[in-house]
Amino acid sequence: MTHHGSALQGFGLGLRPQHYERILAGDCAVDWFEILSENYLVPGGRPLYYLDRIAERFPLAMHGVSLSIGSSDPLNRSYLRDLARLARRVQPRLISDHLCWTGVDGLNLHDLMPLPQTDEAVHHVARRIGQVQDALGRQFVLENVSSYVGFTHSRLAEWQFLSAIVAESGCALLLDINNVYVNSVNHGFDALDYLDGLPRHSVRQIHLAGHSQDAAGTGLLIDTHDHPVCDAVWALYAAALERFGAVPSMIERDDRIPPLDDLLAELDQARDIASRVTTVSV
Amino acid sequence: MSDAPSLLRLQRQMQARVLHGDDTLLVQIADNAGVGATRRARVYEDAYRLRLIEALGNDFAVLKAHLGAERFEALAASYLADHPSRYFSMRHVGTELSAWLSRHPVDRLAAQPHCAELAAFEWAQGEVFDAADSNIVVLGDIAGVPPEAWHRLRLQLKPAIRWLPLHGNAPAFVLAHSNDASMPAMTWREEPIMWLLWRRGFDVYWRALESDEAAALSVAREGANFGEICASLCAWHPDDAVALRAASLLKLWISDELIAALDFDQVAP
Ligand SMILES: [Fe+2]
Repeated sequence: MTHHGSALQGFGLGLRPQHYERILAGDCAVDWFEILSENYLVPGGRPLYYLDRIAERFPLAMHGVSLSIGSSDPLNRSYLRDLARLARRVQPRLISDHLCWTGVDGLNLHDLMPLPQTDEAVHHVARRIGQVQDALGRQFVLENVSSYVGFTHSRLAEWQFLSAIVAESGCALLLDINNVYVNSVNHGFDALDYLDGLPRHSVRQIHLAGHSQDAAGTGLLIDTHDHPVCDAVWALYAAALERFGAVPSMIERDDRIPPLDDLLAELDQARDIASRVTTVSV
Repeated sequence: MSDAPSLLRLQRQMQARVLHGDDTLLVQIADNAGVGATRRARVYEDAYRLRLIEALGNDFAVLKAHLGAERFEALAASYLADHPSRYFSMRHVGTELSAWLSRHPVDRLAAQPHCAELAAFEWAQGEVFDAADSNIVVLGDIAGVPPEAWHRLRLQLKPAIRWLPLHGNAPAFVLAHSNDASMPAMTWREEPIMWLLWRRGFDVYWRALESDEAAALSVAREGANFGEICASLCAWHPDDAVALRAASLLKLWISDELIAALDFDQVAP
């Protein structure tokens, strides 16, 4: 299920309203943008106006936070229909959401809640990804999340959990390097074991982001997307490219959003690392 | 392990922890780094509270400025306890805030009906901001209405319009806030005034309606034809002035970009 002519390529950024005008003014050295799907599931007005114009000039990826693929509640069919409608409008190169649940019994915590890494959860998530792929008529792309709790009855390492879901559902992966790093600290594993444990040809996109220390002094790292990418994450990014090749990569920034030029400079760092690593190994 | 919870049970336990501090989740949490189950769970509890209160603070920025951050946060927390989100998107979380406020005193000091109106006004601004797009009738389009069709002309109002009857002066608070000025004194009148909010371009506008205009626009919205719109003005104007007032209102509505279409049965030539 590859899309040869229409796969993402190169280096992208998350699309943020602060940057609309600058992006449309031209001279923006970005190969593609990732949109937060929920921001555009609105009837009309300014967001959709800018989205249509940016979609004319740049390839887009659609990234959602509301699918709740791991919830015990039924899939939200009307949300899926809205996603499919938005996809017809902007023709994204890929559609992704997170390996998490956001609520149960009809409620929504509006957060990416962690799943127990069990066979039950593998089958549950894989079955629902199948339904999503049917509804969207395309391969779905699943992102790993940061987490702050693990469960005593988890029987799989996180990378085994992801791999089993990929194998059973046929979905692809959006690998968030920062989330791998954050979890390696929060749950005490070797991030390289994680990378080594993933299926080599399933990674379609990479997220790079910053994190913070838990202000409560627990030593936990919190996935806040409000800082530049740190050195440890850059190093892990290089290790990921050695394993997965030239995967399209982007910077995610959701809070304390700097001027576009700062993000473009950060993206150049990713380009530098990628040109160094991929000329050596692939 | 025989007592491993099902996925459903675990999710209910974790949700109950986040929403009400329920303890049953804690024994399920693995703690290999010596952080402690309680402190790990607290990351989700704090994130939930902060994220939703921040979202409400953005949607109700003027109410927050009026009450002060501390009182607003207490109010938001107690609203969320009564109305945990059932929406897929955070943008809807404040849907019931105004109605909830009108039933729940903010605290001893606050003027509760006034706060409810302010919340309703800010919410309506947000709704208008990304309401559906539509065509816009311009003044030149009036020339396309044949004289014999005027009495059966119907106006289609555009979707990016909201009506709000207000007893207080919420709009003055919103204006002061956007000008970085100090908040005005609260006023309250027995008879409400009808306010109209609408989008023009990407900007949200609002104004108070004269009572004759409110009546005429309200019958127009319900699908009345121009003859009936004129009739609705008879309570305010002498018969010979009604047509002129109706025509000037129509011009005003068109130049405000309120009208999406002029409907009249086109007779085939
Ligand atoms: Fe991410």
